Amino acid sequence: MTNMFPAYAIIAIFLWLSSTVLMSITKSDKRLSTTALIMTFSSSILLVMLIVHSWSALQRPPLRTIGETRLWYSVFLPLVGLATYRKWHFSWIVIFCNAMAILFVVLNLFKPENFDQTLMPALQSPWFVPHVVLFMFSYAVLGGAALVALKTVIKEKTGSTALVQNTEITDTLVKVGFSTFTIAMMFGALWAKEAWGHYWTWDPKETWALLSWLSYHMYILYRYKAAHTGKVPLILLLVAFVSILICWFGLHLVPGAKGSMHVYN
Amino acid sequence: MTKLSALLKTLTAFTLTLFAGYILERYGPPLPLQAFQWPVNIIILSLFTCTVVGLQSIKPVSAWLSSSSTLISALAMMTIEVMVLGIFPQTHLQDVLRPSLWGFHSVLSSWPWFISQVLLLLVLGSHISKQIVRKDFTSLGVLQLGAWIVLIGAQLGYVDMERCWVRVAEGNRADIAFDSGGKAIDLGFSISLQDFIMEEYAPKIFTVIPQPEGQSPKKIESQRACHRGLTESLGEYEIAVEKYLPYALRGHNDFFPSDTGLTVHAAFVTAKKEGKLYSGWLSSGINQMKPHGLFLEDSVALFMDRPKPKSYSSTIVVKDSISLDDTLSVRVNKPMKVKGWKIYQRGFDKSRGRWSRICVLELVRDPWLPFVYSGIFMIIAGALLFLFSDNRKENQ
Repeated sequence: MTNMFPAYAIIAIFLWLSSTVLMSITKSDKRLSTTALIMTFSSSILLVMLIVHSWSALQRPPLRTIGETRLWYSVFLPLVGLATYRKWHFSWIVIFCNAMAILFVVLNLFKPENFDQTLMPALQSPWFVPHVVLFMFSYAVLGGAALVALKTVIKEKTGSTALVQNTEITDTLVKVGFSTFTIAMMFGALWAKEAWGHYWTWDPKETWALLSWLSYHMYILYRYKAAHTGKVPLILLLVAFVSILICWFGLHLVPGAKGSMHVYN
Repeated sequence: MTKLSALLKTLTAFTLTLFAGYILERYGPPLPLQAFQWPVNIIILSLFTCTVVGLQSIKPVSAWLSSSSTLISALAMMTIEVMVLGIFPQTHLQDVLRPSLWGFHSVLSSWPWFISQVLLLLVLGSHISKQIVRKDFTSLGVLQLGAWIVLIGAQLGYVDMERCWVRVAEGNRADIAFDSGGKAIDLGFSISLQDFIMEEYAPKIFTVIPQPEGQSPKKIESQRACHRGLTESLGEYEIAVEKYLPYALRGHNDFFPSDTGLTVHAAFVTAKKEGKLYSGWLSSGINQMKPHGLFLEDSVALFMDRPKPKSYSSTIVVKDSISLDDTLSVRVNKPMKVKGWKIYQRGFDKSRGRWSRICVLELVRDPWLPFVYSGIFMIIAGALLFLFSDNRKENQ
């Protein structure tokens, strides 16, 4: 990323923190909540500007390194919070999404990356941007679902109205996240055929992506077709999100994942 | 029976079946993967599809097979196997037939995997058939049908897929390729390498600072690639690049630009620290020539990194004894098709870098690809439909 990242990051963190404080104290004051929402939206716009600036400076899409993908995640996650708030009007959703976005930006501040314009030949493909951007968007949406699930599992009682309502939220978020995750995975298969000669090579990244996909598919069937309620599907969501985190940046922890072609550098 | 107890019963039954697969893997014969070659695989596909559709007429069986509890259980079995695949290092399918006792290190050629796949295809197929028969095909059903096609096509078609490699030197010709087992494959046409071209990114400069005993030296890399006029702080030194030659040969004490020969990247740099000035040449080197560095005080040294490839391609001529005579440019992400084979640019002589006179090409022939692709596009269509679907309608 560029030298300007710390400046952008600090302003974005300030906006998220301010939005979080306002959302925490607002009960029915529409002006306060609108101000908070504008601040959250502005932080995403600010980071989009940083992405555009980085793209121009690096002369390649800023999607190659782990820090760059964390940046995209920090753009999408607060927007997921805003969209969810728009439909269900729960301020805690915006607060949780802001908090997670702050965490990812702070991680980038503590682990600054070198300015690197290189893009290996295998990544120079029209599939690169849609494949990775769709994945980051789906991670953000499924991350939002995990935050709702976590809050519900900890705070709500089985059979309560809040649990039922929050499960409706997770159903919608999983529907969006699963669909985009699926499309991103298929784009990867089509790209792999052009780049590596086979659409699926059981590369560790692909294996863990499939594991995540299977987990969310089971959640959808469990909720949609079997119509199970309660905390069990939400716990399944949390486990599924762990597999996404391993797939995204935890592969180095898994012994079977050495030699993956999907290496962040 | 409540839905949850039905799910638990099916999960238990499937887990026991999977466990039986592990016992079979440990004490039984190896899975006869090669038996699934054409035409056996197409016969299996036809029979399996007929079985799945035919089972719809046996009410109790079809009701159980097409229930969501059974499908969740079947997905859970596949999830267990994929988790084993993701956690344990795997040996290549063709390396050893039985490399691990319980199949943990060779999941894809193990009995538990085979059992989990058969279960899933049977159950998923029944689930989809029920939707089609009832004319109640949801968007998730489209996605699942695509997944069924991909799963069965990829696995039955795997043994029919041919992958081989050919290594060609400039001016030479090859008409035999070799697969990963070393078996020679007659391509039916010859490949000659006319030219191998590689573009490189300008390399970066880095400083190496020795650390106390027992610790690895510290490496500080420049932020930007080497170019004339670059100035940066690396450690305690202010570095400036006064000259940069992307194609240079080594002279007596310096480097000079050249159009011919095994040229390297070279730069004349200065390094300043507390009023002291050091200057000298750096070069990236290639295997035939060591990189050239600049040694500063306190054993600190300045070097130039190896340049990274930006793009590379092979211009090849393909000919056969009849009418084929084409000149093609094969590059990464842009394979070329010749007589049913797809040719991929895979490698080159790394010791010579951009001066490689050898290219490594991979050739792939996959007759099941159109079938699998139809499944992939159906999955994408199903996902898009699901994305815009009504939650309530999907819940029915």
